Amino acid sequence: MEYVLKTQSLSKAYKTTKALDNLTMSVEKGAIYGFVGRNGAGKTTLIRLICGLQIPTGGSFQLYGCPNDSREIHRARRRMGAVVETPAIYLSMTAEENLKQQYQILGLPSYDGLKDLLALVRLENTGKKKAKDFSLGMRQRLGIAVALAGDPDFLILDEPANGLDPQGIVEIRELILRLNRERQITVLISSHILDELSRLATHYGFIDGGRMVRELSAAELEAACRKCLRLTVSDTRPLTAALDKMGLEYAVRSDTEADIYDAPSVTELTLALHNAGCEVKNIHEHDESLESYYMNLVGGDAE
Amino acid sequence: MTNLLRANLFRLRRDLNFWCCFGTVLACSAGFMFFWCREDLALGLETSLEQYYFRMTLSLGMFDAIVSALFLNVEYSEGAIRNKLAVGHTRRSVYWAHFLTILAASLLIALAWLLGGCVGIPMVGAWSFGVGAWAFHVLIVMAASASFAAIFTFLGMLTTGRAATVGIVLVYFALLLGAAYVDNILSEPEFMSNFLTTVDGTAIGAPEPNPYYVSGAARAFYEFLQDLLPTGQTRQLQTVSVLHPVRALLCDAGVTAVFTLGGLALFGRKDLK
Repeated sequence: MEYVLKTQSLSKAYKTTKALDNLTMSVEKGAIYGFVGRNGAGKTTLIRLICGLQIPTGGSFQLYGCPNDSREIHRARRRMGAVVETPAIYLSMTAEENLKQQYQILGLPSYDGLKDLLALVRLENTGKKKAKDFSLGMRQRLGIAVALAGDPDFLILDEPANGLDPQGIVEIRELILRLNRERQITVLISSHILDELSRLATHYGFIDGGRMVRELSAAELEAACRKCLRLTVSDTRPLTAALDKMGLEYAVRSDTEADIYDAPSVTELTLALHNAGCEVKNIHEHDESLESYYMNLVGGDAE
Repeated sequence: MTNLLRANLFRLRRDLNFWCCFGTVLACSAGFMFFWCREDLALGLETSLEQYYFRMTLSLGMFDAIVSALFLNVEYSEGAIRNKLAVGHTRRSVYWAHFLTILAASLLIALAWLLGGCVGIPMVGAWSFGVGAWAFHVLIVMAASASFAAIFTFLGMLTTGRAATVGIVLVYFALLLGAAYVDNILSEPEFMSNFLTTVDGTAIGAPEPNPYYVSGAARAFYEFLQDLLPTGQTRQLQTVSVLHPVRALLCDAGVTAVFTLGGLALFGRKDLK
């Protein structure tokens, strides 16, 4: 497995607070990694560390296999584009001037591809309009275009949907999906808008209090949140025998609890269990959303 | 670093604040020179170009402060610095590129003053103190501009937000007040004579030592301060009376080096948002 980013016990402490506390995570190449956590959980701090805006107080990270304390880390960052908090654009410049500025910062020999980049983020018709007169969504897209100017293969987006209207959110989502599918760009998105993330992410990292609470793939999350019938019985052994006999898909959670994913005949099942001497203590439909999964994981109110 | 410098200069070329300051310095330099020379000519006074030419140098630092404060504030507030670091530039390169950009802006503002003042040449003739002396005085102006650029870059790169913008301008005025204070102390005469009123009218008394006059090591210290402060140098230039031109140049080199190296060290450790 090839990883674009790996952190090992990464920590960042300010005077009185620990913003990141031994955070370990891995971003697989080609993934859209949803970095989920409430405000102040440490999402932006991690992004600041990766981008070199701040220096870790403990642990380490590797970007394309390059350790953060290596002199080569700057070279590794050239393969990366980032929009941290607000888009890095000059408000007194047009979209084209902003991109020209970024091409110069990157030392690109010509402005080739500039028009294509504007077209990619659908800002090709903004003409002489200054960025200060853009809508929030347009600024966000221009910020992404600026981050894409160096043709990166890793894109970091910090709360890209923040403050956007529903149309703006859809535009950003489509752009991210296009970049991931058509250009194979690995994307790390931090967000606390879970519904939006669930439409994009292939992998998730749940962070709380600066710690990684759980890291899992979208498939694993889907399985965890899958609609099922949850049974609490006196013993799961007769239950599994009955379910195997009935040819139903299930997962045993403990000695007394199991989830059944297909729709069984409850009467047939309870009769079979009664005949096997197994008592059914509780039976209910279990349908967990990403939001409730997250709330169960971190506790308290999800944002 | 070259890429960053090129990009910064690209932005400076489009910076309205810079061009406003450049235009104001050019207009003021030309305008004041024209009016001063015309007044002298109208009064039939014998005058020389350098008498007025260096008067505006005192205010150059203020324009440098305004340009650098606004330029660097945009770099922080619009996320440009974090963008430069995120795409792989080192903190050292980012700092150097900004210092050199502010230096270029300061030198261009000094150039506006130089060009504007030439309005007086057709009216009162060229400088009477020779090309060498003129070049040396101009060199001190440029070196003082470098000191201002180093101080303002230091402040602008290590502080953020509007407080930084206001702070840079306030620091300029603090430097100006400091120079005025030092100048005031050094201007005290060694001896003072009192006016005496007698039955025959007024008479000047015998000279007495001035208690406010500073001498010896204290005077040497104040003179050094005057040469050390870029505002002190521009105050001396204003009256074309630079006491220690070589020391002033060395002080500028020292101030530029200390603030730039200090800024590089502190910016290298600064947590950015």
